[in-house]
Amino acid sequence: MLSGWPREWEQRYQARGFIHVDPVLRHLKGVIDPFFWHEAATGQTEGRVVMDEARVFGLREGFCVPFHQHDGSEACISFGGARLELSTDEQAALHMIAIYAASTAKAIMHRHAQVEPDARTRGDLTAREVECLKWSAAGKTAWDISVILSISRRTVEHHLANACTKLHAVGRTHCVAEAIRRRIIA
Amino acid sequence: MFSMVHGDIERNYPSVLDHIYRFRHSYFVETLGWEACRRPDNRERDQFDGPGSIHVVGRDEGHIVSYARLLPTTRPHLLSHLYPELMQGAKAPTGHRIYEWTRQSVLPRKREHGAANAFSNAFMGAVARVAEALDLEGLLVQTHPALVGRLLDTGWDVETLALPTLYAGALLVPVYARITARTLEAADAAFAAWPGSRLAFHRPP
Repeated sequence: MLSGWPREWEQRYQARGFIHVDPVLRHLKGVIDPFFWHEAATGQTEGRVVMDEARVFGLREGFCVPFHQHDGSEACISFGGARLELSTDEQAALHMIAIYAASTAKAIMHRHAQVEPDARTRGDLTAREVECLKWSAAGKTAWDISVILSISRRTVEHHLANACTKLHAVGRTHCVAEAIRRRIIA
Repeated sequence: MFSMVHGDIERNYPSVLDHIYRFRHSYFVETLGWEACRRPDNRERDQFDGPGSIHVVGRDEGHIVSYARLLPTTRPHLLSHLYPELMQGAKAPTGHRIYEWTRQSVLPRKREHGAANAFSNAFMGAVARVAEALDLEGLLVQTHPALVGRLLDTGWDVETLALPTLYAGALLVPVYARITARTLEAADAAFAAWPGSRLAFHRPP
C-alpha cells in the first residue's frame, strides 16, 4: 500500500486488519468504473467500523478507481478527504490521473523486481567495500581508514563511492544507513 | 500466426476479407451484442471499411481468433465521423502517419485464464509491430479508460485527448497512443512469451 493517508490511520488500518473487511475493497471486485466510498458502504455492516474510524481521521468521503490486473488480482487508487464534491468532469479527470499513476507505480515496482533479489538486498559489495563501510560507520574518516587498512586514501574513497552506487545512496551517511538497514554491516 | 492484410483486398483476397467480416459479426454482434452492426448476411462491415483499411489478423489452426483494424485518419474515421462528440470540442490529431485502431478483438477462449493473457499481449504486440512497419507515429484509440492502463503498461506514450464520457452506456475515452522504443520492446517480450509468435505481411500481388 502506497499512501498519503494520515500515518496513524494507516497504522491502525494495518494493525486491525481492516484490509479484510474494508467495504471499498470488497466493492471494487465487482465493478470496473470508479465509485464513491459511500456507495460501497451501503448494505455492508461488517465493514462499518472501517468507514466510521476513517471519519475520525478526517476521511469522510472518497473516490475509488478500481484496477483489475491481468493475473486476476485487484488494486485501486482512492482519493479521500473531509469533503469531496466532484463534478462529472473532475471525476473523469481523477479517473485518468489514477490510471497513469497506477501504470507508473507498476513500472517502478517492475524495475525493482528485475534487480536480482539477493543483489538488491546485499548490493553485491566486495569485502573491501564492506570493510570501509564498517569503519565509516565507526566514525572513521577516509584518511583514518586508509591508515588502518594500509591502503591509499584515494582507494578508500573509491571503495566508498562504489558502495554508494551499489546501494543507490546519495552520500556516505545515507550509504552507511542503507548498509545497516540491509544488515550488510551491524 | 499474425498477419497484416492491406491494399485492395476486396479484389485480391476476397475470401480473406469474407472470413474477416464473418469473424467480426460473430464477435461484435453475437458475442458483444452490438445490435446496430447486425447484418442479414452475418458479415459485419461499415462505411469505413475499404481499400485503405489495414487488417491485423491472428489465426490459430487456420481460424481467426483475434483481429484489429487500422483506418487512415486522412479519411473519415470513427472519431471524426461516428462520435466526434467524444472530443468535446477538442481537435484530434490526424495525418498520414496516424491511423485509428478499431475493432480490437480477441476470442474469449483465447483470454480466459492467466496464460491466455500471453496471447492477448502478443496480439497487441503484433499491432505495434504493424504500426512500426508502416512507419506510423501513433494510433488514435477510443476505449474504456481501463484499457488505457494496458497501453501505458505496454510502452505506448498515451495522450488523453478528452475526458472519458458515457457512450452507449459505457465509459469511452479518446486517446492518441504514440509508438516508442518501449512499445517495441514490450512487443518483443510479448512475442517471446507466446511461443510461435510471428508476423507476416501479405501484400497484394
